[in-house]
Amino acid sequence: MLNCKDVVVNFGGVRGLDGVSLAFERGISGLVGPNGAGKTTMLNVLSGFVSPSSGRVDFDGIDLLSLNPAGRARWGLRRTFQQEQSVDSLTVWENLLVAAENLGSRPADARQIADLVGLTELDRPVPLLSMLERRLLELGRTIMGRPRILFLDEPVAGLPEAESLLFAPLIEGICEEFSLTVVLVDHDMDFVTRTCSNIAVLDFGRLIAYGDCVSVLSDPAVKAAYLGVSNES
Amino acid sequence: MKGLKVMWENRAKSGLTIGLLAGGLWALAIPMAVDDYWLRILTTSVIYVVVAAGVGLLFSRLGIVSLNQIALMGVGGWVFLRLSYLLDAVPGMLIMCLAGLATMGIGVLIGLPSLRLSGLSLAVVTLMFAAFAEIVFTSIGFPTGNNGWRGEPAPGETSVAIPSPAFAESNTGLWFYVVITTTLMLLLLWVFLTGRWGRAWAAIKQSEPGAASIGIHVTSSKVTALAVVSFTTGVSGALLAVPTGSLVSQSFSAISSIILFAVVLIGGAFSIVGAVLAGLLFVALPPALEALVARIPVVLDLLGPTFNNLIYVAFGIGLIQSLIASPRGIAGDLAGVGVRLRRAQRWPLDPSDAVFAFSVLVVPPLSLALLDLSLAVDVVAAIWISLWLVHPLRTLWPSRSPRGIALIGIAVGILIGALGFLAGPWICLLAALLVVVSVNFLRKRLARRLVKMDEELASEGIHA
Repeated sequence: MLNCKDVVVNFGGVRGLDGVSLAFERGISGLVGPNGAGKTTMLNVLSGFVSPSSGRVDFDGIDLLSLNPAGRARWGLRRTFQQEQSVDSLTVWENLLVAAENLGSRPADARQIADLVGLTELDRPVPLLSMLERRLLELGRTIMGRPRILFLDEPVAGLPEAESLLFAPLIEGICEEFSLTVVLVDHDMDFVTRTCSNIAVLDFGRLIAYGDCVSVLSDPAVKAAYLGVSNES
Repeated sequence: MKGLKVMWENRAKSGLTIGLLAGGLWALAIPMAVDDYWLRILTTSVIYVVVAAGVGLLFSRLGIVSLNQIALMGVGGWVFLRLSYLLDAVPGMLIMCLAGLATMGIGVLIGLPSLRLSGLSLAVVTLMFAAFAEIVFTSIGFPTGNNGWRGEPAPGETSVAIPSPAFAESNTGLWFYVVITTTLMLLLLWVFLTGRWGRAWAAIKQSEPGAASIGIHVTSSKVTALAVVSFTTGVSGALLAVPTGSLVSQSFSAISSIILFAVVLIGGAFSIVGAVLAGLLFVALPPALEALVARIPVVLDLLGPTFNNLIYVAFGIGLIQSLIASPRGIAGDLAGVGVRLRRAQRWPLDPSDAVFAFSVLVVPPLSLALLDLSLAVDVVAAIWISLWLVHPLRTLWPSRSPRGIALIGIAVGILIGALGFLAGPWICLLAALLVVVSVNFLRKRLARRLVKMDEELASEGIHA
């Protein structure tokens, strides 16, 4: 279980995260909230790109804050970015290979991962890929080696609906296969409710609701913050 | 071992074989084609190719602007000279490697700020080191063969130049020694570039957070790049000391590091070909320009003794041109021309890249080596024209058989070669240019027909 306790992040005078305490179970959880709520900041803290001012993050008792981003990736904490990060100057295969080489995996495993996410024609340069293929490639790169936790930051952003529909079963399959803790950040509520069992809602750096989809979506505070319905009405 | 084998097999497919073959032929041809003065200049150019390749690697793969590579070269040369006096029983190659290792240590030390800085700030830090090194070299000088850590003669003693190795007695011997050592250094850089480290560098260049998120240690990857580049740069510094057994501090000024960086951008930072061009531009262009200008009295009268500074104008124009029009440098443009030529080359007989490679990479150095200059120009022009003509003639004249078209191409080639033989190489080049221009003109006039032809070819599954 991934535990965050009283995580506080300050950006100058602005409080990015204000004492967030959360526990993500194995399986797929969603992290949602309006723009500027602190979702990506949360991912950055968990993956090591932002150091919290105070708070604790541990996974089954292992303190994650003591590791740097690359160390966390090697340990098994993986993430994607809103702007996908495949290397344009390399081919698809080299992109998988560079991840395999640095995440303690073998080239043969990289080939299996390519099959798993459904990438073909591995000798193509990345700029020739469609958005869907780029997203698949990034997903493939993050599950190389022995992943334990996977953060997906808007994995279907920029994809047409028909293609984003393909993603939900793929993520579920990967979660099952590696018995992962997956945290999904997305604006697309349909996609989140379809994929996730639990949802955490952030607003202005605070956790305002956490629980199963049905109860969270009917929570008046969530409606007010996320859907823009005021409490009075 | 197995990994090495796989790497080798992958490489064989890339330009390595052709590059080595063509480089080898050029290396054989040049000592036969040029006189001793130019051979010495070209030898020095080749030494700087490695330094240029290092600058290009750091810039193109990691975005590091390093303005201290010439200073590092000086470090390599200094250590090499000092150790050569100290260890006169040890083979020169080994001392060269030791000099490389010492340079590696210093290069990494200076590069440590690069882990925190980037862009302009980092460039300034490296430039500061270059200036510092210039002052140190000027004040302590280079070892000249006596005791003490500076290896300098005490007052009253005479300085002893380090004895040159036997092979360096002849210019040709020195040329081959330098070419072989340089090739080894370039291969070392290439092994890193195309292997695991090169991929990690590419990921870092794209995005440091992205690289870290797949477990790449950004710091150690950058340090590795600095170490490898400093090592090869140090070795080339040592190589610079081999011919005369001495060095002077003026060769390692801070300004020359800046010029080298500019020249690498002009030549092309992304490839070995670019590095070769940069080495040539850096060392051989100044004397070439000087020789050229000395023949034009008007310019001499106009500029007087300052005409030597024209080279800075030339580099400045080149830099502006490359920043505006060709970010991948001359090498990038050449690669583009190569692709277009290869396309134009689609033979009706056989789409043979080997023929292209042979005619571009093997024929010119061979003719240079075997024939005298003007005859070599004739032969190369004749062969290129007959090869080049095949594709345009085929589109202009689709009803002709492939063999007929090839024969016409060869006939025109022979005609041009003969013209050159009778009237001199300039006439030959002019005639070749005329043929190319007029055929292209005809081709444009028949553009509509050409489009139709291309469609037909495409329907046959051939991409024109």
